[in-house]
Amino acid sequence: MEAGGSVILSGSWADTQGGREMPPAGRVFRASVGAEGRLRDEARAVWSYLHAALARPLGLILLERSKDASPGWLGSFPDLAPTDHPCTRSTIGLPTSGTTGTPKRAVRDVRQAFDAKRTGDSEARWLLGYAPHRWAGVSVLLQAVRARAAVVVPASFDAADVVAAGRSGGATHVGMTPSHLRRILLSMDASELARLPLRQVTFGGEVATQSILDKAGALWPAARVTHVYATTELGDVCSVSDGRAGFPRRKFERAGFAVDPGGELLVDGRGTGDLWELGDDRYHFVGRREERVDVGGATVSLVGVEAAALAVDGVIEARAYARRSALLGHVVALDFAGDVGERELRRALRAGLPKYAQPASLRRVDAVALSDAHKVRREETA
Amino acid sequence: MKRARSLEEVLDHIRRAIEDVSLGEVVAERVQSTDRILGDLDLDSLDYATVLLETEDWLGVRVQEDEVDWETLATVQQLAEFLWRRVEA
Repeated sequence: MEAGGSVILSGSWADTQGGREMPPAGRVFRASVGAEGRLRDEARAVWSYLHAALARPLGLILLERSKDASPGWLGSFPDLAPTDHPCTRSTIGLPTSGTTGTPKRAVRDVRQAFDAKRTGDSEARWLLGYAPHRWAGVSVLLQAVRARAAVVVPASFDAADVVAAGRSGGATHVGMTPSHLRRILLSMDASELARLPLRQVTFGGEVATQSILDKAGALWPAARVTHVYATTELGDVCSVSDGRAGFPRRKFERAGFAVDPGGELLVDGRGTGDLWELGDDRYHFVGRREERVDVGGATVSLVGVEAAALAVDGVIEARAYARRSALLGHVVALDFAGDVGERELRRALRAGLPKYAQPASLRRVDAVALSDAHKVRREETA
Repeated sequence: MKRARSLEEVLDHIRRAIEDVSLGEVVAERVQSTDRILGDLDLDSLDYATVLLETEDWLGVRVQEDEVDWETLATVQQLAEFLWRRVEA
């Protein structure tokens, strides 16, 4: 399918060589160029990333018709060069999103991650909602390659471009952060989003609140809505598709995970810095250690404050962060976007949050501050 | 950020901030300058911190913890005067 604002990387190769057999089956991908005969810059970057980082460890053969094919070109993502790991050649270095503090680089075994993927739906058309050099973007690419499915690459991650690509590319699957969907909802009418023929919506990168799961379910009633707990360091850890926030306790425990008395998730006995709470026989992610604030001696979860705000009718986006207070050391601040009054929101939060979790500062904004990984930023901004 | 032109403006702003944080239970016009914020107005320390932070933002000033003697900032008047001195400085 031709896509003016995107490029489709397709797993079907039979017509590229006039029917001549090309080994190995299922490993050949081609790029569908636009009418002008070349790849758009963003799609070029994804294509080049496949060449540079994933083709060798996965044994891919990548073909394209564009005239200016240049395998190995890293495009606009300068940190994509594969690292030389002492034990394997199938590793890549990925920048972390920085929500855990200073952004760093994690080394991941691509082959291992690829083998862990299920084969999936070969008819799927995955709308790439993450930058390809983030773990979430790599995960989508790996899933598409594994399933021999297609990837629809938007011209940018702006709401209009993502939705336009989804529509013109016939996207059936999408992965995005909850904040990205909220940003899209803030930017356009929900009825436009509802027209996307999605069969699978996967949330990752941040906690998926009940309100965002319900929203996705309402927009795309025919879709399966999944949320994933994953980190750049660990990859995909756990996923659930039952429409409820949190993860079933037994699923966590079956996977061998445990939560220590302080609430920190342990994987193979090592602390991850991620905090979880058990409630209603489900584990709920409550944020990183760094996302807790001490307010006058009481510990407050910023993720919990956001979830409470997002549950209020009319709030589309919310961002909780800490601000210094001469009286209490720190207090919670909340930026919000949507159609609700400050007093009304404050009243709703009084009912939904313990006292010290209530934002001392409420600020209405056009849009909350997000990182380039489409996650809520935690630092105080002007 | 707004620069207040007088101590009276700062007092008025604090009164409105008190009304906002109390969700209207305390009416701005009835707040006396001699009222103790934590004693006479049924507010707690988080409410006080909220009023202070909101007024700091409005005035464009920042109060550091080590420059405050909280015993001298008990009333609405005292808080307003403290912040007004910061603005004038």
